[in-house]
Amino acid sequence: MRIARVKLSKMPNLKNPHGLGSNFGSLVFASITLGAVSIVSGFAGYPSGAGGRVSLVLVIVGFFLSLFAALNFKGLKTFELNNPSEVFSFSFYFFLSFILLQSVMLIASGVVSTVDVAILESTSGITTTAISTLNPESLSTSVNVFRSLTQWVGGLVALFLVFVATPITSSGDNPSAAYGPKIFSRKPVKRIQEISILYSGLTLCVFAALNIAGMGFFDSFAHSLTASSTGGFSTKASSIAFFESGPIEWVLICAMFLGGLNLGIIWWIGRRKIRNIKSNNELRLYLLMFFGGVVLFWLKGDFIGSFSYQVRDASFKVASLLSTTGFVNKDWEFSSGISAIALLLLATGGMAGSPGSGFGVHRLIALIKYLRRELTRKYNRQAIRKIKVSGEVVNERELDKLQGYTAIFIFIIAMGSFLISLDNESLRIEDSIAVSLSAFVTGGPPITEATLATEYGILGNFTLSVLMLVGRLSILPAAYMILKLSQSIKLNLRGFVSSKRSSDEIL
Amino acid sequence: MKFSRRFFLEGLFESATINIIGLTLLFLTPGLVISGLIEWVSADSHNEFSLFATAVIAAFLGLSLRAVTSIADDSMDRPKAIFSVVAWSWVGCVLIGMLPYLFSGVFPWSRIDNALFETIAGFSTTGSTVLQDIEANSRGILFWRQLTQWYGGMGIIVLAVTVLPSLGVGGLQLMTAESPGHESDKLRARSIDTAKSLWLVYFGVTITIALLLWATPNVGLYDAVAHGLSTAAIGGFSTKNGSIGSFDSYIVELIIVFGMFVGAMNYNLQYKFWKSKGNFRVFTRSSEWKLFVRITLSFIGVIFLMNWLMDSVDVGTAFRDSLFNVVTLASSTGFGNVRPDGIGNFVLWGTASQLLLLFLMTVGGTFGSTAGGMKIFRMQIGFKALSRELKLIRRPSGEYPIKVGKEKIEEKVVASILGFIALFISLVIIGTVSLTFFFNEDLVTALSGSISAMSNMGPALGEAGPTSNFLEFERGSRSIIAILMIIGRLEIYAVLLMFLSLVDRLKVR
Repeated sequence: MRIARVKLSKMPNLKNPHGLGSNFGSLVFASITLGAVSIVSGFAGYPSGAGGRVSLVLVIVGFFLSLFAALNFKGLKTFELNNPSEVFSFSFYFFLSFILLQSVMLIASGVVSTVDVAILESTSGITTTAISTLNPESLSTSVNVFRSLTQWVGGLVALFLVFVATPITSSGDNPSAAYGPKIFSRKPVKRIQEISILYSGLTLCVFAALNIAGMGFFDSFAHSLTASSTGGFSTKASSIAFFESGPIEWVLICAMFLGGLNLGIIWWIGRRKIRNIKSNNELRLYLLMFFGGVVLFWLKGDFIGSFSYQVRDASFKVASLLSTTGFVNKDWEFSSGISAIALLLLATGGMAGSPGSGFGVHRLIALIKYLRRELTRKYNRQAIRKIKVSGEVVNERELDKLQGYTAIFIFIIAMGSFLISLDNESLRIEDSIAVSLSAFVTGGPPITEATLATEYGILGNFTLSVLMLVGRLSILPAAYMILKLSQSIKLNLRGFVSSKRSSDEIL
Repeated sequence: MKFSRRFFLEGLFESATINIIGLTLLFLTPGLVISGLIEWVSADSHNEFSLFATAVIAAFLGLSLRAVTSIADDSMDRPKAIFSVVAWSWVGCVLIGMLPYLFSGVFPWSRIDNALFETIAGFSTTGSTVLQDIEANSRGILFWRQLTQWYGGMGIIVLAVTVLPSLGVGGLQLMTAESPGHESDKLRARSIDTAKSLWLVYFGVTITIALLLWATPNVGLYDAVAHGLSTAAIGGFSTKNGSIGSFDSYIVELIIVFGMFVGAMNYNLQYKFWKSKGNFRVFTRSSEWKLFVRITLSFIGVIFLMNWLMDSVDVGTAFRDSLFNVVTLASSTGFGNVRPDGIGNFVLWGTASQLLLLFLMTVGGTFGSTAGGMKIFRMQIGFKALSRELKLIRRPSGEYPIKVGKEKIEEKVVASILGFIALFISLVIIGTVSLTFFFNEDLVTALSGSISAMSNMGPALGEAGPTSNFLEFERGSRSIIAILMIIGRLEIYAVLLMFLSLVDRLKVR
């Protein structure tokens, strides 16, 4: 069934006589992206004394990756993503290739020494999660640029997944899927260009604003990349708390708020389609959660400092949690009174169509409406009620999917916290749940300062990496690949058993 | 003449709700009388007045309400009426059931909320208590406390037989869904006959547990009966401060484990087992029962290994504690086996083990049992729906009906069950947020306390562990926990719809 397609053959140099599939295509795309990021990062830090070796490795590896990509890129005859399974395997293999290649680079450059930490750092970068075991202040300029750029690329890929891939996988019958063609151009390639321009423009604005706020050129550059992508990596060990600056925090609050917003809303604002924005109840809930969260955080705060400081502090924490960015300001410690709300904001995440991750505001609306309908149905059996999100009717199939998604969401967090607690026995229950949730929604800092400095073993690092990857892919592609893998193992085993039987019979 | 005939034989008003509240109050009377008699013959204290007085009040109110009202033939056809009856009957029982505590001075009138909490915990078969020194209370009062749980268990059987089928989220149609030829094999044609048959099994289970406990050298007749009542009801109340751990006996714990396990099993299957003169295949045919056994055994195994290997506990103690605590939480009973030397407290186990217990708290027993929680059947449907979703990713146009055993489950029922699971989780989240935000409870205590209350368990993690007392919670926190207990016990919908119905009536007026 051909639902929609992304035909990249119309782009220059995209011909492959062998007609390679989406899996190889994903490797090529990962190589070219990582290659470009490496070369830019390598030159950015060159020839700074301590980071000289790292810069050189980045440039050389980046060059070879680009070369490999260019050779095969040319060879791809057509590249089409026609159905959900192709999209799922493409996105899964893209992330996997990117993570593995980056891990090799990190080990080769000597930034990290073990495989599990390399995988954790790489996954954290591309999935826009602010979980890291490295002290950024001890890293060279090129590595810091590299880390920030991988998060920026991760944010862009997340937007492509929503606006380009989801319409293919959902056949346009869920509201987030409809965002793509309904907001941006109907042609996928043009849509990709529009999204890239908008995202880059937003990053530039954040960069300029941070510069004006007094952050300094390099820090502004790095933080603008990680703020607009809701990534959360910082060039400072204590993150934003290092700067202790009101204007910087306000700029980042705005950047994170916009980062959690559907990119389409900003596009509509630019094109003055205010009516569309007014009727968007996903935006209303997002605003309610943001401002409601600020009020609750302020109420539960310790009321130290001026009123404007208290509001800024509450706004920063809410923006960082709700957009799943993961920047940390001063006193990143949540009292027991606010911890549950902090986790709820983190779990919900931003709007569909934002680089942020999490359960999603659109799903939350659909879930609330679904529950209300269930109650009404029990009360009045004749009641027929369609569920609408932002004026779009959500069909029953999507509602079934939503139930499944919710269950898997909770199950994965539970499993993750169990494995993390197995790895680190000193963690408390709430910490292991918070860390697992934070990794899964690609957030970053958990809700206690104690867990910020926690180091994990192989099991912990591996679990966090898997959580970040599955969370970034919004579960389904990862679930699909696992299912596919388990089925192929099952078939291979069956084949092995039957061939063994037949050979026994012959003997 | 005409007026008196109408008054005594037909009732002045037509109200099924008030009439059935009267009936349930009449049901409470024998329990109050028995407790009063126990108190009377007890040498230690004499609070029999409080129990007899409550019995008189219950009987008088019950008879009066029955006399002034009548039930119209079609009044129970509407779901609204059924919810109203169930929820208000529960409220009536709780209001009368707390009177002995207040009359006897166990709780002063100024602490009426504590009496209410204890009674709600009783009737909802939750093992949470606000009694500080349980053993300091008189025998009759404690026996009444145990009986509230037993009555609660009886109520759940009625709920499963009469109310849940109309909601499509459980009840008889699901209890029998897996049994071969279930259409013709319904226990009895009428709900009330079915309830009677199941009550008989319930009574038999209670007697068996009590007799087994009495046969051990550690437990006297009074304690044996008291624990028999709360074990069969999957309640968790004990007459001892240290719950089952007070007996410090392996054999007592094994009997209680057996009792909890049986109590968490579908009473329909148990009835069939009894009718088939001990044919064990009745159980092995049920996929829900098999899954319950598998889950329980695997959790016992994993937690035993974790406690033994990671917490450096000796094999015997690790096995004993894992077995007891897994069964008590999987069945939503809530007994504790913390011995006088402090061993057996699961709050002190490793984080990973506690996380497994947290999951176990949501499971509950099987459908048609007196256990609380989400129930295995719903989880089974939930997981099957999940696996169908994954299959549909591969083949979007595929047809994958959900089956339990050989029976295909209707899509309506699947949707209802998924809705129930989502509501359960939502209520746990609301409870957790309320407990943390308004009363500054720590996250683990709030989360596990909410799950425990919704599953009618009793003990939870954090500060609400098996040795803790709910008096440590603030008054407001206790109210939230009590509300969750009622919502969980009445399978969510009945309570929520009762409130919706009230709002509806107010709107009309």
